[in-house]
Amino acid sequence: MGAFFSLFNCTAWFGLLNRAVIKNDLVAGIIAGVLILPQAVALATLAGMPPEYGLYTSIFPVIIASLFGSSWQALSGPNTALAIMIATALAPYASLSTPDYIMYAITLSCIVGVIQLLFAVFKLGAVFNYFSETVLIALITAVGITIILRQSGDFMGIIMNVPEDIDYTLYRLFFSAHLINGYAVTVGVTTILVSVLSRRYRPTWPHHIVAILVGTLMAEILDLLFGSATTAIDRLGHLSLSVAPFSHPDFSPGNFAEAAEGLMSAGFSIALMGLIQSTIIARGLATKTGQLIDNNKEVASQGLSNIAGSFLSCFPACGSFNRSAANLEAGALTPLAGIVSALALALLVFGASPLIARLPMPVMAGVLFIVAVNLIKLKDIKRLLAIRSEARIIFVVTLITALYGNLADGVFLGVFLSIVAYLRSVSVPEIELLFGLKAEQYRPAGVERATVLKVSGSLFFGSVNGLEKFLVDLNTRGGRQGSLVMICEQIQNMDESALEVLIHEALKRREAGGDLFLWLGNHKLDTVIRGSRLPEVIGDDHLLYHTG
Amino acid sequence: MPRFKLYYLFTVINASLVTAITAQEIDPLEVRPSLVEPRVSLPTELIAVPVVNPGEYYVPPKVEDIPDDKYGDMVRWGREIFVNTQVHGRRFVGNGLNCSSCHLSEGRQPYAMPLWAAYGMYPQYRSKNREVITIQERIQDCFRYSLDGIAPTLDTPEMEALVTYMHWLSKDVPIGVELPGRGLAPISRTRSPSHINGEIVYKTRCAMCHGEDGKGQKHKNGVGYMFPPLWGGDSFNRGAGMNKIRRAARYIKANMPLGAGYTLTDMEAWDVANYMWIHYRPFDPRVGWFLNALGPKPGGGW
Repeated sequence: MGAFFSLFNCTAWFGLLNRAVIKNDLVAGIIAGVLILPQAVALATLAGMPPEYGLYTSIFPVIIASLFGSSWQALSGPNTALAIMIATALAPYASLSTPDYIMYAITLSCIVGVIQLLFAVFKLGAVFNYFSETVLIALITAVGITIILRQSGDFMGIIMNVPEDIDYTLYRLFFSAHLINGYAVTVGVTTILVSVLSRRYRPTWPHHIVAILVGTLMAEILDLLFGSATTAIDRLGHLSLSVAPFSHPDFSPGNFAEAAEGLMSAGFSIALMGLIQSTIIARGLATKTGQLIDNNKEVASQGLSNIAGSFLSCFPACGSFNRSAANLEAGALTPLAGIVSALALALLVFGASPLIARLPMPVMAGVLFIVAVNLIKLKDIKRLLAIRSEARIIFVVTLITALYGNLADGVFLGVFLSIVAYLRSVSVPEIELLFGLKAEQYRPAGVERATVLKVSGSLFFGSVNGLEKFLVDLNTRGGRQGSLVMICEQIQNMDESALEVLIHEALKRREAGGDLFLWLGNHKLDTVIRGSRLPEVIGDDHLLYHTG
Repeated sequence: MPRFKLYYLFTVINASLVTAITAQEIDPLEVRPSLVEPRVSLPTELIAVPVVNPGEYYVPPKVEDIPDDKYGDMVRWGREIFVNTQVHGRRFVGNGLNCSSCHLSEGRQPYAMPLWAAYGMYPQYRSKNREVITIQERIQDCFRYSLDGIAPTLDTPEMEALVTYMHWLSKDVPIGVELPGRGLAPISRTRSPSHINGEIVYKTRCAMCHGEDGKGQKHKNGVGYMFPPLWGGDSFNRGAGMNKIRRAARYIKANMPLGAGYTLTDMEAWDVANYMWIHYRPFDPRVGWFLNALGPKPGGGW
């Protein structure tokens, strides 16, 4: 029970606070808060929500997740992959950013939170340690490509149909080339160029902010020169923010029933995707800071933040790579920095709302372009594709599914493939053939020639097939049909099917004039072996132990 | 004998009237004539005020009749945006006006550019855009010029809501037919309008609501205007239709002072419109600041 309540303990880091730490985290938090602003707005539009909701989602879940989370530097908030999954899940049920759509998104947030909390309560947080890195790279790459295609419309000032396959989007881009708004493209290209140049020549500057400022300035100049009705550069517009935007998830049959199926399955995949990213971020940060991470606590904090978010007008959120990295770079030490960053963002938004209203959409698209290109890590992809292994297949299959189906399918397939890959790696027991002196010391007395095998890992129904194959190979191709000594010291556990294989092998060897010995060493496996008919078949004296 | 004839004639007329009333099918344009209130005028000098006959203008459905489904939700949202653009269309508005600042009575008032008369007329060729435009593109222009803000893109939900409201308001309206009450009232002109006369008329008839300085009157809670500003930074810009003297005069003639339309003479309406036009208002967004600052002010002709 104590472990259960420790999931919801939010005071563990209070002891770290002193004057210097507080001062340090205040500064780090303010920097991180300013940096999120453009992404908060951009990701909201990506999720099909009005920009206000992106800001709420960058404020409230961040506070909750920072308070209850296990990692002290990881920051939550709207996430690229989740944003796309939300848009694809909700688009069939309501038009983007209508009141219905917003209601569905808020309900979805609650569903996601509850599922995540259940993961924590049932202590399933450890599951995410096994999530394959290959699958994550494939999913993130798919997100990057999707964002680039999705934003190309905003970038060029054309209206695109949102839930469409990528090949249709490409056709549409091609055929609506004559509609491209040159002014919008100018502004977008300026944004990207400035970002790239500032990162190259002024690496210490916050390149996103510089790019946004210059891009907005460019749009203003174009407006002054040619008039805003001529340039027709789309703007973000005035935000109507509220200090306490209370909302509630709506499960009433009239509103929920028609979308229930879609929302539930989307909730599950979004919950998974959110947890995968959050735990991987927490782990990644922990390797840099040396902090000990409790996966269950991290998962619980995500669940709590999403449930709380659904009562404060937030769409599903999870850990964010960029923001956590920025937070760490800014020198954050405790969750105080995360809380300060949320409050700083809130202050900034209320203070600078007339300026934010003038943000051009092509600038936002440009920023998302840069974010998306950074998501596609060519180095990792090249490394994966260069190795001739199952990782390559998993990567390609997951990427194609995530791009052509949707991201949710990609997540499910990815989880499935991770498990399959893990089981495959487990199911191949390590078998080593020993020679010379090493083999000699295991040769039982009275046997002249013996083949010595060292088996380690676990022998169970899944892996026994590998052992069987090896033994057959040994007999037919290797010509080692005489006596066989199997060193079972390193075997973790055995089950009935493994014992059956051993019995079968012993009988086969006896027929061929050989014999089978098992070097058990200690008495670890005794309960399993003594419980079966193996000792009767091969004889008690064939089970060898360390003397003394 | 003639007496009898007269009596006979009377009964025939009476009978024919009765049959006409009972047997005739009700014209769709005659539904609920009670909503159209006849105007009362108390002019100082004698002018002709047209009396609105029941059924002369189309009467849109009542607000209470908005259906209780998703379509109805959209209609309600569209109406909220239309009536209280400052709150519900905040993202796109650049000045202090609402849609219903000009389109009076929530877009129902004849000769105040009623929505129901416009809905069936689009798509149409518009010389301002130099192409055939849809109703959505027309609404975009409202946001660009009259609301001096950002045009919502064609796929924004606010745009969908506004079009849905128009669609509901135009129930039973024939497509492509110019209905009576469409757009603005006709007006005649006997001399060039004078802003000096206009100032006198403005001070006596308009200033009590729109203010001596033409900046309107805000609501007590500070959100939006009870009486919209006629010029200045919070009013429509130089690209708006209302910035044309002729357009404004026609509007003023039929609708102003509020609730007492047709009480100004034609020339008084022209003069007030001219007086409005000479004041500062936001720049025309179709051209850059250079042309705005140095070029001629648009909308001056009649």
